[in-house]
Amino acid sequence: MVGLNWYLVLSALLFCIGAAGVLTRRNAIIIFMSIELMLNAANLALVAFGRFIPNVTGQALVFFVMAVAAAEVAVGLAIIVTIFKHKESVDIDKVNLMKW
Amino acid sequence: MAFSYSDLFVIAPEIILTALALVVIFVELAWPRCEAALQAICAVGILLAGAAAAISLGVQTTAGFGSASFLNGMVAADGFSVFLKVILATIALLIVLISRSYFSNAPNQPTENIGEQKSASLVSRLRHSDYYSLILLTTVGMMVLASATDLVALFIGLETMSVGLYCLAGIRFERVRSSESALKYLLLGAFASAFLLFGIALIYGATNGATNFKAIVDALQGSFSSGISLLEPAPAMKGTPLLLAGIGFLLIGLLFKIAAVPFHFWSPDVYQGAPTPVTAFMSAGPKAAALAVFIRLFGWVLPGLSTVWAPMLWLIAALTMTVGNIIALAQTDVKRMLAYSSIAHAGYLLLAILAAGNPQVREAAAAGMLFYLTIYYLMNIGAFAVVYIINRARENSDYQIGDYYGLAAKQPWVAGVLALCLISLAGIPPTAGFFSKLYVFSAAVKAGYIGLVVIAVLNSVVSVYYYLRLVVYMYMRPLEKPLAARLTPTTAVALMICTIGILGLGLLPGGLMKQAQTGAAQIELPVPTVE
Amino acid sequence: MELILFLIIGLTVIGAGMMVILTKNPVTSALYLTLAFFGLAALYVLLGAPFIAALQVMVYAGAIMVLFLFIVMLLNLRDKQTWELTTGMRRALGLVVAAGILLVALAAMKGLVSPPAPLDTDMGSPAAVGLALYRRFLLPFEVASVLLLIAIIGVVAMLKQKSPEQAPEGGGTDGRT
Repeated sequence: MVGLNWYLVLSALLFCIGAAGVLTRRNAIIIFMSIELMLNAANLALVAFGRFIPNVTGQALVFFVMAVAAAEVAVGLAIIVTIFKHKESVDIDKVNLMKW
Repeated sequence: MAFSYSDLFVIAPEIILTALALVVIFVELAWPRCEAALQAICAVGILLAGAAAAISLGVQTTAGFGSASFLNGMVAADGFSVFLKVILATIALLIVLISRSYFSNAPNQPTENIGEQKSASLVSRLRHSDYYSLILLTTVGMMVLASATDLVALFIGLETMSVGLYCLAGIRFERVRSSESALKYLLLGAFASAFLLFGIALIYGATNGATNFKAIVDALQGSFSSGISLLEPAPAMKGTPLLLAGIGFLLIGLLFKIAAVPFHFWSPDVYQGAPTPVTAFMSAGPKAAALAVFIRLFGWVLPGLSTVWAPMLWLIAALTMTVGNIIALAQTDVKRMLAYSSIAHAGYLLLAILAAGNPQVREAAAAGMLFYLTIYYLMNIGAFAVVYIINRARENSDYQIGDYYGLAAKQPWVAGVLALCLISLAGIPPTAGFFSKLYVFSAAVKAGYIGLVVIAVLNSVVSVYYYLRLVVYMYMRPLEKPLAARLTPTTAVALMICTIGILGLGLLPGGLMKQAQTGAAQIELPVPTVE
Repeated sequence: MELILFLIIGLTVIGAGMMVILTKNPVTSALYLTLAFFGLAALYVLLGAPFIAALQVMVYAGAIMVLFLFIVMLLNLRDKQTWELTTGMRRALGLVVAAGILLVALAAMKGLVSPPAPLDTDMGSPAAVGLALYRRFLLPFEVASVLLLIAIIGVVAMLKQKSPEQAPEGGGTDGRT
């Protein structure tokens, strides 16, 4: 029997990997993928908690997260495409016309 | 019962706005290039939505639904959320009014680099309806967020608002700045959302499956209604590590949305790059909605843990106002200066959240916050509207302070409105900005945060310098470049509303404050009716 | 048995997650991310949530990843073989922050007691989740549709190209000058 703790540790690790990706990479698309990884880590925690409580709310919330992720990815990739048309690059350090 | 007609009353403003967004799209399909009609439809519809919010409150109180819970405890139908819905509807109305002809005859901005020259060939064929319907739908998200009493509704409302704002920030896709602003907002906003969601997951686990605010309160008091607790009993009112970590992650997500200091670095760039009417919207709407759910959560759900979160929030509030004001001093770009000033104002508003942690003064704090938010959007939107007018007249791609030299001689009315907004932002007496600060600060003093109020007052004094500097430049310096500002009638109406609001509420703040107090006294946490 | 399955899948997910942020090529990253999504779907099955597992495969692995791959291919980023890392200071800070997050999250789980999960639950069935969505979470469900509407309008507005009939207003570079 796999306990709740196992799933939560896995979720925490995955969240941390995603955060590290956001903070260390400069390619906007990879940053965006890392954010998806973080959202999935939170989903895993929700389903795991929901399983052991037991309570269906966690799964309902995961459903909404998927809807949100789909919308966010569509909008985000559209923005990345417009940036690419301007700069021929998706490097976030080249996207810094605006300073202090 | 899962759903009834009284539920429809509660979400009437949202329903009207959503329907309106669709109507706007179809109207433009049928009659293209008719912005005035679109604007009129939007304005009437938003007024209807605001009225519906007010009426729904009236119906409730007369029909005696009282503390019944609507929509399974997802959103509150109390005076507080109705007040906020009216605020949000007014914000949307003002933004629609100042956006006139934003897309039809945009100034030919000097190109900044090769990319932009190339993109000049992809000049937008934006339809006005895209813009107006996004404003309306984003407002729906804000309304849901502002009245949320369930973590699920909070999350979905916040995301609806955020995704709408990402789109609005990037809507001038042929300008590199608009796209950059959208990208920055999107990446950092989605990052913050991930934290918020992880926080919600931890709270869900720590409270044994509660997402409803009232259920969280019950769980914190140790009265689990059903099921087995996942946690060993914790010492009362200290919270378990799981819950505290959850609150911490949730706090990061919310502080990001209101641009409080360690999480503020996105806002100046995003505010500067976004189209100016959208910047006005961003500086007013999300802040009001996020702070509403913030105060409900921390004042009414988690006050028992205030010994844990209050010191943290104290530091963040102090940092937010100080950093915002000090960096604003150094700005020579007016739009950026207003961005930092709005960070500083978020710091003052955090005082209300802190004060709400004390159960004795939480209603005064919430009322003060409602009053502050009302005045804040009037003066901020007024200021950004003038920035927008001047920028269009100058045909610049930036917003240098030099553009404002001698404005008063050439454009006395526009300069007068900007001066009034700035004086009110600084909080100088006959204007409403003074009372908004007074109410929030006095609530904080009553809650015992005297040290922080001293810091806030000192900060207000510092802020007078950069606000009045711009006023002095407008009135004392000679005009440098010719200026032909064109004021569209709808913008004039919006500026008039702001002026009347700032002056009127400055002279007679009592009426609005009474409304705010009634609203704050009614804050309640509905419970779900079906499992 | 379950433990062995969990360990295999869990390690695969972690490994795939690491590869997402460690590879140079965005296409490879996207494929590893798909692997991680499939692994998570398998974990959802272990957790008695078959409906969510199916959605995970359809929405994440199906729709979202295809969108990612499509954009990476469209923008022709796959030839880029550079790391594109942030500068030293920022990278170190980022790793410290990420490690801090991990520590906080792990510390948070101290004191959790793990009750045995009920075995005969149909909580994760499509019917059970659907009932929750349409009854208790009716309002968020409707707001989610507003969110998707925003995404549609926003994407169309941002990616709309100049149409031929609008050419005279736009560039004016097509032989008329």
